[in-house]
Amino acid sequence: MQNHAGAELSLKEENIKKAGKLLIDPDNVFWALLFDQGRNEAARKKILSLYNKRRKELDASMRDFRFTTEFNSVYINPTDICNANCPYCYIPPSKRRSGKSLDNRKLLYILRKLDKFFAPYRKIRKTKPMIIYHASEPLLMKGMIFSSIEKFHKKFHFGIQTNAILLEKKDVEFLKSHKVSVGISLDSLDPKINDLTRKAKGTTNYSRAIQAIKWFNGYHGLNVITTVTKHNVKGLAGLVRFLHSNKVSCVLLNPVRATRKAVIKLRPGTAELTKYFIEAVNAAIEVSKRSKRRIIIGNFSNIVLGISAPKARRLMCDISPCGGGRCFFAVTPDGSMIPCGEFVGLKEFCGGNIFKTSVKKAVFSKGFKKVRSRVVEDIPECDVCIYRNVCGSPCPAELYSLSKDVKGVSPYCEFYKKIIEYAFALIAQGKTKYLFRKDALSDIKFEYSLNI
Amino acid sequence: MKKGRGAATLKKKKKGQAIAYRIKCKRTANGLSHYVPSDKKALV
Ligand SMILES: C[S@@+](CC[C@H](N)C(=O)[O-])C[C@H]1O[C@@H](n2cnc3c(N)ncnc32)[C@H](O)[C@@H]1O
Ligand code: SF4
Ligand code: SF4
Repeated sequence: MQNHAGAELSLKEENIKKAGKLLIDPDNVFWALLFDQGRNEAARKKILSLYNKRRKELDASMRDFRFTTEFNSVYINPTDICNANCPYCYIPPSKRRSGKSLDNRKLLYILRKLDKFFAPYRKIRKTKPMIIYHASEPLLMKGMIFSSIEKFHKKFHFGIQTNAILLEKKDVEFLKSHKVSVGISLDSLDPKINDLTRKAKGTTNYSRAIQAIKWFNGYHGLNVITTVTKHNVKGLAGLVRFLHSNKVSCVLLNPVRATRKAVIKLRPGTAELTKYFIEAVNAAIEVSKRSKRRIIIGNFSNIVLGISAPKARRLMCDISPCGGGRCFFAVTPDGSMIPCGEFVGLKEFCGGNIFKTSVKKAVFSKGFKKVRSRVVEDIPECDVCIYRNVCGSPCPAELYSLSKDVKGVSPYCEFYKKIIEYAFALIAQGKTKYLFRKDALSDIKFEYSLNI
Repeated sequence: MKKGRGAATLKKKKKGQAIAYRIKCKRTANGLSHYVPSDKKALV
């Protein structure tokens, strides 16, 4: 890595396998790929001139994206109880066994309060904010949450994240007809491997998740979450192919976060994770090329967006400050407002109780501010990394759980570097169109483009 | 930019020398590990 010769001290250079020479301003993520080993001086000049022209605007845009606080979603955990017992789960096992639940009255109170909190957002954005029913297992409170969706569907978009164990055919119809966004967890196509990490007493999520996927039958609002561990890492590409053939359009392949020491041993090795993740990306491209339907690996497409359209990111884990306490927060069954669901059980981050204090007070609480002030510039190693505003060094909750400090280098650092480089390789090969939604491509517009 | 020409910009030219672009987009951020589907015109 070296500074670009001449006046452009902020532009760094890096040779990337199968991509060419990358010029990048890590602060605003201006980038250009030079082919022919970057020997073409005329091409280089054109890039520098484009960079000089755009630099100020890009700086301002990145500043705005990173440092404004604008909430658009709230995660509500209707219960701490779960009907499964996944060994990696970031909800502490003791909470899941003897936890609290919301009742109908309390849930309605929360939704009314959030409705008021979001009034200015609705006016500015002219869209509904999002409520997502999340951890532990929301379907244990099916009646309550479905009736809240019926009551509030004009005020909010709704989402639900579930292990699908309790999902029935009529529920699928309900969720589809109310345009609810649904996430289903499935770790492997092999039931034995799936059961290693998605344990449930007397039952399994395996057959239920597959049944549910078939019932949803290509529903636009469905995505699957696969939590990647050393057990299932080799099967990611096969899983992607299977999901595509079952009309799933989006899957997230999330490397397991060790929010407890015992989970560290479930992490896949970096080399293995990189190899099989990239194999899965290639499988997604290959099946999407061959058929009319696409399947997107959400967390990889998000990286590609981080490079080519930073503000269009959907997931807010790979930018610093992350989205926790800035774009969304979570409410637990005892009323605690926390910056993100992954901070559950970490009292020092609690912004107050929604039954006692205002949401605004939580937004300006010490805990929320601590997450909002976590920037890559303050993390040794990330501060000089050229990918710092594509990666963001996730995740503060994971790092804090293990070291009592949010400001650390991500345990998946090397993995991120490799997949960001792979994203540049796909950009160089013109394959990114398979990573975006088809409808959007028909009238895609550019802030700037140079293709010489 | 005319309709249709957009996607072509994503592709490297044969014997191309360099590529650089930024796609115009609205701010869409919305989540942690849950992927909330977007309207049809959004990129993903
Ligand atoms: C906590 S669960 C809650 C909703 C529901 N019970 C389910 O399993 O989908 C939400 C998602 O987080 C994932 N998850 C749980 N613990 C995790 C961890 N330590 N690292 C990464 N993902 C995790 C689960 O696999 C699941 O996909
Ligand atoms: S099903 Fe979800 S909440 Fe329950 S233990 Fe597994 S990951 Fe955790
Ligand atoms: S975690 Fe690694 S790849 Fe990410 S910003 Fe830090 S040094 Fe860069």
